[in-house]
Amino acid sequence: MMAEMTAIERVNKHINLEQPDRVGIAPMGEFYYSRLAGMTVADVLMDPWKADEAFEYGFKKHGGFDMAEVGFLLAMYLNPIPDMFSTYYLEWHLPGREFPPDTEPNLNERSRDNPLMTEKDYDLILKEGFHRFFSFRRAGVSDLALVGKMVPQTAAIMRKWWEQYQVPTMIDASMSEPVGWLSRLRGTTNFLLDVRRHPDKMLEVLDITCDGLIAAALSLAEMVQAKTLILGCLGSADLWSPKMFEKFQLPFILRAANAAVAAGYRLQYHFDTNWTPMLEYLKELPPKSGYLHLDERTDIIKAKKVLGDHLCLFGNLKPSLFTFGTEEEVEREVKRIIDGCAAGGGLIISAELTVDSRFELVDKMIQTTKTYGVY
Amino acid sequence: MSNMQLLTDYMVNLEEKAALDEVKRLLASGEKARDILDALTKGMNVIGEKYAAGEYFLAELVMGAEIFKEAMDLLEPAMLAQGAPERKVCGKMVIGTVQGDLHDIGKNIFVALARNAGFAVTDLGIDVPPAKFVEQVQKDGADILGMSGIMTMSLDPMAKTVKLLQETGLRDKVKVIIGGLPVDERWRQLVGADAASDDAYKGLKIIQAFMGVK
Repeated sequence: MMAEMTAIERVNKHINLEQPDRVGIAPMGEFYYSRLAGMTVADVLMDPWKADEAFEYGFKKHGGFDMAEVGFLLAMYLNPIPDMFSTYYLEWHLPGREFPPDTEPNLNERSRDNPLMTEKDYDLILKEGFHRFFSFRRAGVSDLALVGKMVPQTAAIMRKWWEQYQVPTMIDASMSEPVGWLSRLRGTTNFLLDVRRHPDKMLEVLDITCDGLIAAALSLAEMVQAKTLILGCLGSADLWSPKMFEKFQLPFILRAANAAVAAGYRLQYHFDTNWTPMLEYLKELPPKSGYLHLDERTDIIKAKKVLGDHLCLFGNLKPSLFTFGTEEEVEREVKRIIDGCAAGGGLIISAELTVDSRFELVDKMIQTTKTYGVY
Repeated sequence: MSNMQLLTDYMVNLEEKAALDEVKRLLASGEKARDILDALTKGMNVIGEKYAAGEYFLAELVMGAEIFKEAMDLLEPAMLAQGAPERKVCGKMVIGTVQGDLHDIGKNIFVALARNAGFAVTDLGIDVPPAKFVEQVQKDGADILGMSGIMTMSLDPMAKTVKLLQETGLRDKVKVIIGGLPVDERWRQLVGADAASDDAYKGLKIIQAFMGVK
């Protein structure tokens, strides 16, 4: 048996597609940890120190694992840079603001009626550029002031985990691709209709928006001294055909990923929904450039076959399993993924936990990985 | 190829302008609006079949529903003017995204499909409390209640709504379907619903089965 590695060493091995001491385990907790530590979601949402306190409580209660999720607050809801989770641009309802304190943030999607962005706004982007359209419209002055306070706090917390605990942080900042971003602003249904009705114009808009998003994301990443960026992708075979993906989305995902890698960042490719029919395309992402989060709708065992020599896989237990499932089901699922994907390294077990996930089920995922996942 | 077949083909191929122009041309040439509607419905059914077979995707389903809706806007006045029998309503449905949840992409696509298929749908929007669902079911005399949600916390208001239907004596009179990305058989059982679907088109097939529509 190989000597036990630090979490940094283990994750680095997985990302480089080399075999470490065991399979990685890194639950995406977000607000699971706040409830576990006796806090509300609102308590941790606007306070990096409290968020870190809650996370550290959960981390220790579970006996430790391989990634710390501490930078997400800045990277998400209070991100002043255009991003799918930013309350500055989109109509997020936040706990302690529009919602009760112990509920999860929730997006008013406006998928068809009354969208935040009109068709005329495309012309504004085309004529006057990316930044002309994007202005702070949905956050208050106090929100903006919080960001200035949170940047140095978050950077200090990140350093603690990397240097003192030897645990890598999971997400420090974000990089958006234009399809996800514009479809949130226009509403997904409207956006799909726009693409079908005006394909050439939409390609131009996507092109300009992509460059703007890259520039904005890299500037914030530098400010917070990020190491890992999340590149979320709304798309997949649930949304549109491989042919449309190839034309309207893939080039921009690749442009964003290559720009982040060239600037020295590691990426969490956060690809929700069903990517199984499109896995071949993901071989075009820069190799060993991070890890690919796939949720339960993608066949991760097929992903291992297609991408096993290209990208580390991350996931893919179903979140509701941790609210409504049993310990036996969690154990069976973890073992199924390890049996199908662990060979040779490149696997980090994870799930996107919700605020109402149960401790014993999360713990079963962590402990099963630590024992059954030993190489 | 007949004119009606041509219209069906435009619909299936998602040729928006050609389909709408053809509807206008057929109406101007005196064709019965009812026959035009049948041709469009045939096309929409083929789109659904292609979606189920993995040949079409959500983008195509959305486009098909949009063309159908635009065509209906042209047809409805003509149907009235021609004294055509009103389109048969195959079921009355109340739907909404449950309390505490604001997501509406899937719900809106489902509503468009259900309306195009002949259901009379009252869409209560997002963040709908249990009492509002029950009140509307009672008011409309609905055959079906649809509840949408994508967060685990959405299960609780779904279950509360079903309980309220029981308490008000309506549960036996209405079929309940829940929908959303994470919804599965376990959710259905916990909520006490009659059906669950994580896909808008599958959901349409389920409510059609509820009403005995083939």
